[in-house]
Amino acid sequence: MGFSEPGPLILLSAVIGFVGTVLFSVALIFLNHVYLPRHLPPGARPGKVNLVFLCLACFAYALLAIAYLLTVTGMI
Amino acid sequence: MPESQAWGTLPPYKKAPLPPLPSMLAALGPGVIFMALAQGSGELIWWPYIIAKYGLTFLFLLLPACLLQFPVTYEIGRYTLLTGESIFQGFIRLHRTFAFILWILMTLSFLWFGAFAAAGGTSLAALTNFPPGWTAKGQTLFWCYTLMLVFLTAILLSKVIYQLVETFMWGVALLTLVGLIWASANTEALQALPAFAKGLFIPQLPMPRPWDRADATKLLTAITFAGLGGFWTLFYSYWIRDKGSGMAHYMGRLTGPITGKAEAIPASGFTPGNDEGLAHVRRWHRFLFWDISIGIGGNLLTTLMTCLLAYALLFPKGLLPAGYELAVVQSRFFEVSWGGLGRILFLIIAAAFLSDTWLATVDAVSRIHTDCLCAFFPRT
Repeated sequence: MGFSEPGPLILLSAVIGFVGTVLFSVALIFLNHVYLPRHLPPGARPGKVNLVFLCLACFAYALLAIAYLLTVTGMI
Repeated sequence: MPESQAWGTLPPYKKAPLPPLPSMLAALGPGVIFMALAQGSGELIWWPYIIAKYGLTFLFLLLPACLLQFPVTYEIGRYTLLTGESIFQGFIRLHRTFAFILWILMTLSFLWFGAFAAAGGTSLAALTNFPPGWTAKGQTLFWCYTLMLVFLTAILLSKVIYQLVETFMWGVALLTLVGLIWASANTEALQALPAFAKGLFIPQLPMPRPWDRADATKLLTAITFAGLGGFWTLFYSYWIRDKGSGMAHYMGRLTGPITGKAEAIPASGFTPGNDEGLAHVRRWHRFLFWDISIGIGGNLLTTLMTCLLAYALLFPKGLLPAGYELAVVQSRFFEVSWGGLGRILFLIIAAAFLSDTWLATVDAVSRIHTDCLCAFFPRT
């Protein structure tokens, strides 16, 4: 499998994209809801609703990433 | 002489009052770039492919796929709104090793983004058949490099680089929206509309064709990367910053090297103080909500139209071109339905869909590299 054809590059991009999406989505939870609020006045801190939706999105992305990796490796 | 800064650290946030929202209309812009950039191969190729092959079986996944990115995009925008810093600077503050790994992954994923200029070049080559006598590959490369040169020149000559990107993306967004609305206003598409609208919420079962396992990765990719997707989602932070939204008001802008006036860009951002500026928090959050809604809503609308065209024109005929042939077949349908003008319209839309990705990507990726280089390799 060489890199002179677009197929392997597209696959590699997709795998990196899936992994990266999960990583930075989870990081956002800690950045905006743990780290940043310490530096903000109470009136500017995020609410719990934002956190719930963000967690749901992270969970969905994680499931999609797992499904993708299982599919490309032929396990399902 | 300033103390040397450890790698992967940023100076502490400074305090400043949160400025008022100028007006909702004046503040909008990042969402339009979002919409224009989000229009790409997923919207032009993969979702129409799934519809052309399986009819309305999977259409009900489109709406949740587009909405899935809303919370993530909102949080990315909110960090920049409340600090003026880019999201990568935020990740560096959070955990520098994690940010370094993420930077490496991002770099790898964008090593070959020149392909988007090539994809736009393919459409322009098909449209113009110029230079005459060249092979298809030669013509594609000609237009690819021409597009890169045109965009590079525009960036170098611009006063404020973000303004150039936003103005161009407004044009692309309007062109594709108007073009697709016009293209969708044909008899076959309008007749298919009621069934299509129902399929948005209720899957059509049984499947009109047997499930092909090889399509699993296409479907998963189409869902996950609906809209911006992947590392592109992080770009939203940079548009918010250069638009000067919220606390980004205190950060400088990237200006063109020839006609632009240099602006100082602080090494770290500002957080709101406990002062009268807090009265503007809700309005800024409301702006963020509407700006992202324009991006996601606009992208959803254009994807729905490309899917409707696939459902109305390709699915009934059992036509299933492979990969990028789909765009070529779609252009032929436009030609049959609306003559040469229709084919030209489609190829222009396809070129806009794909080549604007290069402009937005080259701008945002270079900003990310700058942030990371300045933080990970500080001057001592």
